[in-house]
Parts: sequence; structure tokens; C-alpha cells
Amino acid sequence: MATTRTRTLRLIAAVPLITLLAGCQQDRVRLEARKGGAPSNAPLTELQQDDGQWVMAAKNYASTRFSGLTQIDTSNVQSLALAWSFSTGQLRGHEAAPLVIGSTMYVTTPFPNVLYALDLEKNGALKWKFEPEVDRAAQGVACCDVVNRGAAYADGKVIFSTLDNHVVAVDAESGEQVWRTKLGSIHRGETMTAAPLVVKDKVLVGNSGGELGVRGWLKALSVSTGEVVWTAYSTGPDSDVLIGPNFKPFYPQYQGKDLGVSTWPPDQWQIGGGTAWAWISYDPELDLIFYGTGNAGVWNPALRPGDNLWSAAIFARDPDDGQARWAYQFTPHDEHDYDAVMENLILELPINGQNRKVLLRPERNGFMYIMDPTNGQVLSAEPYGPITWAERIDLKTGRPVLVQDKRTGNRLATNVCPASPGMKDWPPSAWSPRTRLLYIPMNHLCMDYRGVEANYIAGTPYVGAEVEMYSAEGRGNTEWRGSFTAWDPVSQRQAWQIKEKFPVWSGAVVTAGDVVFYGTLDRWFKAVNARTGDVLWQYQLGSGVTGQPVTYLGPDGKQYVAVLSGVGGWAGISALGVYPEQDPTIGLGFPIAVPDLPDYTAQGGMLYVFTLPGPAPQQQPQQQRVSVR
Amino acid sequence: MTRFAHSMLLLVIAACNTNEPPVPSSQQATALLGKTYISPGAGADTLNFTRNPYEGDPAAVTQGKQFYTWYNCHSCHGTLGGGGMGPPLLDAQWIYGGDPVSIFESILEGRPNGMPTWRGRIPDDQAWKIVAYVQSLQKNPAAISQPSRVQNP
Repeated sequence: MATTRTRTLRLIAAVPLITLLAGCQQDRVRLEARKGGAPSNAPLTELQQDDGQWVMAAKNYASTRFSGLTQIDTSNVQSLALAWSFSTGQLRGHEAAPLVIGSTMYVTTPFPNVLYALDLEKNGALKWKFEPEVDRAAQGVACCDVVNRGAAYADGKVIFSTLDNHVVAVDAESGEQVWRTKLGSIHRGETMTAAPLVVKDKVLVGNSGGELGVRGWLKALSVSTGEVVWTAYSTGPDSDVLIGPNFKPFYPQYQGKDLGVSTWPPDQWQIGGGTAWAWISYDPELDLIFYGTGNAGVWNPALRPGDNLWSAAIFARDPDDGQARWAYQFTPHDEHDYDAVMENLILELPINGQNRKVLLRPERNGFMYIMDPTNGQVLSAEPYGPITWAERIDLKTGRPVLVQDKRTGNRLATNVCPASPGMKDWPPSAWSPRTRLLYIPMNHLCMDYRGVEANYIAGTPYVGAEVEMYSAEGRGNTEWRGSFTAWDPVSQRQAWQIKEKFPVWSGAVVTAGDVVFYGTLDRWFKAVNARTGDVLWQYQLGSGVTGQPVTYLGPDGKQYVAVLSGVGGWAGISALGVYPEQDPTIGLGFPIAVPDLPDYTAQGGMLYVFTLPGPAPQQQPQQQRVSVR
Repeated sequence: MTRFAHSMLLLVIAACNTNEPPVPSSQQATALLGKTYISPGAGADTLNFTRNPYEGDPAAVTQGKQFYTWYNCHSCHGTLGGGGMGPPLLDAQWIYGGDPVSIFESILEGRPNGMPTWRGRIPDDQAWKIVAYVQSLQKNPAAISQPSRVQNP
């Protein structure tokens, strides 16, 4: 408490009058956050401005994963040292972003989805843990490991999904359950792995299970009661998809009645995938949420002629009633498992010499889309890595121009790039407004894909494809199977790239100290110069990194960087005791691309927290925070 | 005689369960639920399990492979038993027992960590053929192991 008081006084004394007036709102939030852990009731629009905390997986509604903190910079990151660590007690893939609310850190684990509250006043001492009692059978319907991508925070509650399709709200202070709502059924193959997003008084969250013939949806729940307010399906009639009079898509092919039915063979839409299993962004100005839908189900496209709307697409919706404003399908009639669930960054970029608000989207199908967030028009779509499945995106129609030889269906297509996990998968990129670069965790994989017959049996996989992946450099290449890339979306070229032995399956975070952090499957946690791509520091963690690093200010005024290690997820299946070399198409064809992973990492979930040695620097707290606005 | 010995074994196991100390956490309980070959009272090693009626029958193995695909077993356990969403079937590690009866039971009754129950969905006869195919995958469990490679320099 003494520290807090000293800090408060210093802050008040140090802040110049002008910024005091301008920044009083932010200061209030900041100070509240430092008061010994009482969780804040301030709105998320304010909380996310505070670089001292990390209140949602993507850091902010624009999903930039940019922190204005500057204590750790390119000149001192070499001395970064372990401050404390914490074992999660779980073995499977750890994909979550820790949250920092006030002086407490919240960490969710893979199944059985334990929520830990760690006291930042006491070097991460355990405050409480919440075990939600998850149905063990849910493990049998999780396609790509039993992961969880993190929690959301609002109104004194930590809110997260469980693998068996519940959303749980827990009192952030006491660790008591506030509400719990069941949203889906494992008997239909559904699971939930996504981090929810809170917008105004609603929790938004989608389902997973595109490999099990699940029908995708996004639901909005009341933050206070957990009641479902609206459900927007990704397939089916307009009344289910929440397409109404306000739906004004840019491209004409999306105008028409019940396209979520008519672009499928009869009834196939009911098991047609399009699960909303990853990221949601929000633009408070437009008052629209943006999120993507997963692959069309069944994988084998020969079994579902048509565009298969609204799979592999993006929706812009009104968060209050869920009504769609526009939609755009990145990959019509998905033939390669190109789920369109990537993060949507809301940015201002100079396009054709004019600054405008855009939606930037590093898409799984290998194209970097810049879109008009008001109507879904594609302004540009350039490849950001090796692509063979399409020649380009026709900006007039919005449709990809396909390479016939790479089409799948009931045939073998070879050397299809990118492979099914895409140029990137769910691991989110980070954007720095200082360098104007997007930092992207990437795969460097191609594949052979053979469509085969498939039987739909509810609660079992529904795939119908035999896939084998390999390095984009060629079969047997084990030196380059992933990349970490800085991309300039305006000039549409790569600024720098780090080649990695394994696909990069961790998130990224970039700071105003011009340092970008990410982790690797061979368990290195790296700090990179955001401008040059030079690796300035790296630390070997206990297990491969599939989590999302975050950074925050501790109650002691020091900047910390936190990341979960614990190999797993789709990319990490080969480290979970399977035999790709004896059975090459297992794990949807990913393990055979990385059969050597067990030589580099074993399982085990552990949180690592790093900081610079010594006490907090004597500088004005105001300087700590470069505005994200 | 075999059947009698088998049911005796079940009785022994059932009796022992009542004497087990309480388990401290659900995680450990999960591990303990696995079938074990440890058999207090000695003699387990000499017991013969009920045989698969189709064991070693090549036609049944071929049919079993077909059923293994039709019922989507391959999607979780791998066409050749390499594993994936579900555990591998080609090595010597069996969570719930690798003898034909245990495999048959796993198929028909399901297992708590995600193996669905197929009772009423897969006829016994087909299930035994699937067991025959699964047995054919693990003929040489000792030969199956992950080769060691050069370590990270």
C-alpha cells in the first residue's frame, strides 16, 4: 500500500497541468487500477487505453496488440530477466493471453479450463483458482487439441468459455461464480475455445468444431446475467443469420434471399461449418463488430457444390441486436480449409494518398486484405507469402481467381500453398503505429490434399480429406517451416522476416519501446527490434510457445512481459505422443510437417513473467503511456 | 473355464476398488480410471482373455478396416492407428487395455475422456471385426517408437 500511495503522489505532482486536464479521465482509470487490486467498473473503452493493464486478449477493440509502454526498449531489452513463473498444472496446448486487471493477473488453461488469479503485488502469488467442472467427454470432440484462447473482463467479472460449451462469469475479486450459461452440445461435435469479447453490456462469443460438421454461430450474452440476447448463425436462412433490412454488402453476389441456404446442396448448411472460433473486433465509432467464420463443412468440397455462404467469410454486425450490416466471403466454396477467422485490425492508413479508416486482415488464404469497414469493399488484397491456389483477388468481383490445378474435390491436388493452416492461423499479429508495420506469426507450409468420402455421424469428425503438409521449401526441409514477418500494408511489401524452423504458433505484442515479442514451438521467447528485425534477446522456456504474450505495468511501476508456454494446438499435436511417420495423414496432415517437434519440446504449461533488473525508473508516469488513439 | 477366470478377475478388481484410498484430485482420478494389469492376489499373468472370434482372419481384418473408416474411427485414431484427436492404437500404450475384450468394450461402452459409446450403433459382429483391424495395427508394438534425432544445436 505504501508503494501505491507514493506513486499516486508522484503522479499528481509530476503531471503538467495541460495533460492533467486532457488526461484526467485516463489517470482516474490508472489510479483506480493501482489501488490494491479492486477490479475496475470503468468501461472497457477507457480501460483499454491504460497501458498499465491488459484488459482483453487483443489489448484493444482495434486489435492492435500495441502497448505504449517504453521502459523496455531496444537499448535495454538484452537485460530482460525472469521475474517469476507459475505452473498451470496442465499439459495440453496453452493458447491464452493472460489478462491484467488492476494488480491481478488472470490466466485460463486448456481443458479442464482452470482460471487462476495471481497477485501482482506478491510476485504472482496465487489469490484463488476457479475450476469450472468441465465434461471430460468434450476432449473427444476437440479437433485441434483442447485449447482455450483466454478470458474477457467487464464489470468486475472475468468471463471465459469452457471446452464443453459453457460461458462462465467469475467475480474477479472473490473467484466465485456469478453465472454460467450452456451454449452448445458436444453430442453435435461443438466445443468452445475462443476468447470472448465484451462490447457494451454484452459478451460475444462463438463456437468451434468446423471439423465435426458443426453449424457455426456467434452469440451475445448479457454481461450481468449471462442470458443469451441474440444468436447469429453463419449458415441457414436470413432469419437465422440475422440478415435484415440493414444488410448492405458492397458486392452484388451477397444480395439475395436466404443465400445461406441456396448456396448449399439441400440441408448441407445445417452441418456446414462456418464456426466463429477466434477473433472479434469492435469499432465504437461505426458501432460495428467484425468477426470471421471458419471453413465450410465437410472439408471435401465435392460434397457441397456452391459458394457455401456464409462460411470462410467476415460479418460486420450491430452489437446491440446482432443484425448484419455487411458481409464478404474471402474463400467461396472453400477447397483447402481456409477458415476466415483471422483478427481484424481497425486502423487509419493512407490509401491512394488519402488517410482513411480501414480494416486490415492478414487472411489465412494468404492474401493481405485491406477493406472498407463501412461496407466490406476490398481495397487491396496482395499475397504476403507463397500462394499457388489462386492467382489474385479480383477487386471488381471480390472473388479469388482460382488455379485449376490446385482445386481439390475428389482428386489429389499437390503443392497447394499455403497449406490448410494458412499463411497464418489464429495466432494474432500486432500493429505498431510508430513503425507502421504489422508483425505476423506465419506458417511456411504447402500441402498435398486428396478429397475422399465422408460420413456425417454427429459428434465425430466430418472431414473427407487426406492431407499431408510440408515446408514451402519442399518436402523434407526442416529448416524453414514458419516465419515471423514485418509487413508494410501501405507499400504492400515485407519490411523484414525471421525464418523459423517451425510454424510460428504464438501471438505477437509490440511496444512503444519498438520491441516486438513472440515465441516459437521450439520454446524460444524472442524480443526483436521492431524496425530492423534483429533478435535482441531470447530466452528458452520450458515448453513450446503457443500462447499470446502481453505486457503491463506492475504495482511497483515496472514494465513486465508475460507469456504462457505449453506446446499443443494443431501445430503442436506431433508433440502430444502421436505417430505421423507411421500414419502420415493424422492430425489433419499437420504432424507430418513437424514430426521432429518432440525432439525440441515436451508438454507442460507454465507462465513466465519477465522484467528489467533493478527498481522502476524515475520518470514521469505520464511518459509511460503513448496514446493508442 | 476362461470365462470363469475372467469374471473372477473382475470380482477381484471390484473388491479392490472399495479398499482404494480416496484420490486427491480429479486429474489423478482420471489417470486412475485407466485399466490396469496390476492384479493383487497374483495369477493375472496366467489368465487368458476372451479371444476375438475374428483374430487373425484376414477377411475380417479387411472388413474391419472398412468399418473403421465408415464409423469415422480413422478420423480420431488415424487410418493406420497413429492417433490425433484420439490416442494412437499402434503402440503398446493402452489407457483402457489393449486386449481384444478391452478394445471391444471401449468401442461399445465408450470411455470417459472422449471415446463415444457405439452400443446400439455398431453391431457386435462389426465391432469384433474393427477389433481385428485394430489388433492388426499393433502386431509389432516393440518395433514402433519415435526415432531419436540430432538435438537442437
